[in-house]
Amino acid sequence: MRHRYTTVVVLGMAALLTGASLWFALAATARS
Amino acid sequence: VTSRRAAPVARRTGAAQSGASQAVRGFGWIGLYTLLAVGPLAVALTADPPPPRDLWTELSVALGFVGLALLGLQFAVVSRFSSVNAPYGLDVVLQYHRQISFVAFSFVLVHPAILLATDHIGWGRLNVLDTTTAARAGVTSLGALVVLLAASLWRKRLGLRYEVWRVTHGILGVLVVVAALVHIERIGYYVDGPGKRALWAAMSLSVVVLLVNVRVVTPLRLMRRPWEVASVEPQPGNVWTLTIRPVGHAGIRFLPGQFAWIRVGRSPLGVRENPFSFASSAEHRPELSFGIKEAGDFTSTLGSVTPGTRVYVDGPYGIFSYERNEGPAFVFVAGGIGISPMLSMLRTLADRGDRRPCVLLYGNPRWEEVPYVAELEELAGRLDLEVVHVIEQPADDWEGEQGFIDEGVLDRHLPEHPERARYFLCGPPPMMESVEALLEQRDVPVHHIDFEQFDLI
Repeated sequence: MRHRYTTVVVLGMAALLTGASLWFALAATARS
Repeated sequence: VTSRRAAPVARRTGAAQSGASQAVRGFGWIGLYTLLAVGPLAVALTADPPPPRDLWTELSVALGFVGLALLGLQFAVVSRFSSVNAPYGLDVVLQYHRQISFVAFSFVLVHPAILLATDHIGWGRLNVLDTTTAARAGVTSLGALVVLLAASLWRKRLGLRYEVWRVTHGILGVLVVVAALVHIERIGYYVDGPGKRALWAAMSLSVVVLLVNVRVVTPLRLMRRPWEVASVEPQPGNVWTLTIRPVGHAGIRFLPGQFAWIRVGRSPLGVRENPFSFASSAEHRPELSFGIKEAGDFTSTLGSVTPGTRVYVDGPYGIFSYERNEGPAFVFVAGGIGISPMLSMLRTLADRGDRRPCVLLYGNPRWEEVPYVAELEELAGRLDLEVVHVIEQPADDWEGEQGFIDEGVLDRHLPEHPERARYFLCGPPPMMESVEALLEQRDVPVHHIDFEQFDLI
C-alpha cells in the first residue's frame, strides 16, 4: 500500500514541477 | 505488559515515534524537498535577472533547472539519514529514488528536445567533437544519465555485479551533476550576481557533502564500532544464520523486524555491503543474528566465513515492525527468507511474555527447504502462535496446507475478526500482492497491512 502512495507522490511531484516550469516560462517572458 | 515494556525501548531507539509526529515529519520533508526542487527557478528570476527570451527557450531552461535540482536531490534521498527514512521506511525511499529518476530524466531530455524542435539549436550542436564547451558538458551530463539509468534498470540482464554497479552508479551520478553545473556555468544565463552564484555553489557543495557523508564519514563512524562473527550455521533451503557480537562496545538497539547494512570481512570503506533483516530478538542483546539466503556473489561465500571475522553494521533501518503497528492480534505472512524479520518479531514477543494471538503463514517450495522449522516449533510453545506451513510442491504424505497462500488458507487460519489484526507481509512480490488483495476483500483496513521487500537493491 505504501508503495502505491509513493507512486502517487511521484506523479504529484511531476505535475507540480511541470506546472512550476510553465509558470517560470510565462513569468520570464512576461517581463518584457 | 508488552506495551509498557515496548515503550521505553522505542524511545531509546528513537525509531518508533508516534504515528502523528512521523506523519508531520513525513510531510515536512516532502515540503522541503519541493522547495529545493523549485528553488533554482524562483532564485533565477530575482535580483536583476537577464533580459527575457521567447517562451520555448524559457520553458526549456526551466525544465533543465528542475531536472538538475531533482538529480542533485537524489544524493539527499539516498543519504540514509535516519530522520529522513523514519517516516517512510527505506524501501519506500528507494522506490521514490527510482521513480523520480524517470521524472528527472524526462525533464532533462525535454530540455534540449524543445530547443531542437523549435530550431533554436541544430543537431550539429550535439556533436561533442565540434561544438561549444557548454553543449559538450550538457551532452556529457545527459549521456552519463542514460548510461546510469540503463545500468540500474538492466543491471542483472547486463550481468553487472552489484558491487561494480554500485561504484559506477556513484561515479556516474557525480558526473551527471558536475557536467550539468559546467553546462549552466558556461551558458551563464541566470547565474550572474553574488546571490545566485552562492546558491549554485551551495547546491554543488551539498552534493559533495552528502556523498562524503555516505561514503566516508559513515564508514569511519562504523570503523570505531566493529563487530565479529560469532557463528555461521546452515539451515535448509540455502539459508545461513549469521550471528555476530560487538567488539568493545555495547552493540545497537533495534525494533524487531528492522534491518541493517552489513559488511563482512572487509574495510568499512569497501562497497561490498548488503541489507539484511535481523532475525534475533530485540531483547536478546548484544548479539545479533541474521537469516541470509544464498543469492548474490557475497551471500554465496557465507559458508566459508570463519568466527572472529570482522563485520561492520550500519543500522537499524526500516519501519517494518509490530512496534510501529500495534494491534490486538498479529498475522505474519512470509515466503522463503522473508521469515527473517518475522522470526525477530516472534522471538521478541516471546521474550517479552506477550500472549496476544499470532498466526504465521509460511510459504516455501518444498518441505526439505523450509528453514527454522525447529525454532518456529519452539516459539509456538512459548507464544499463542499457530504456525501454518504452506508447501508449493508437497511430498505425497504431506498433510498440511499446499499450493500458495490463497483464499482457502486465509479462510482456514485467519483470526476471528480479521479486520482487527495487524498484518506483516514479507516474501516474493506476487505473494505479497495477492495476499494484500485478499485481505482487502476481507475488509482489513490498508493501514493494518505492512510490507517488507527483501529485494531492495
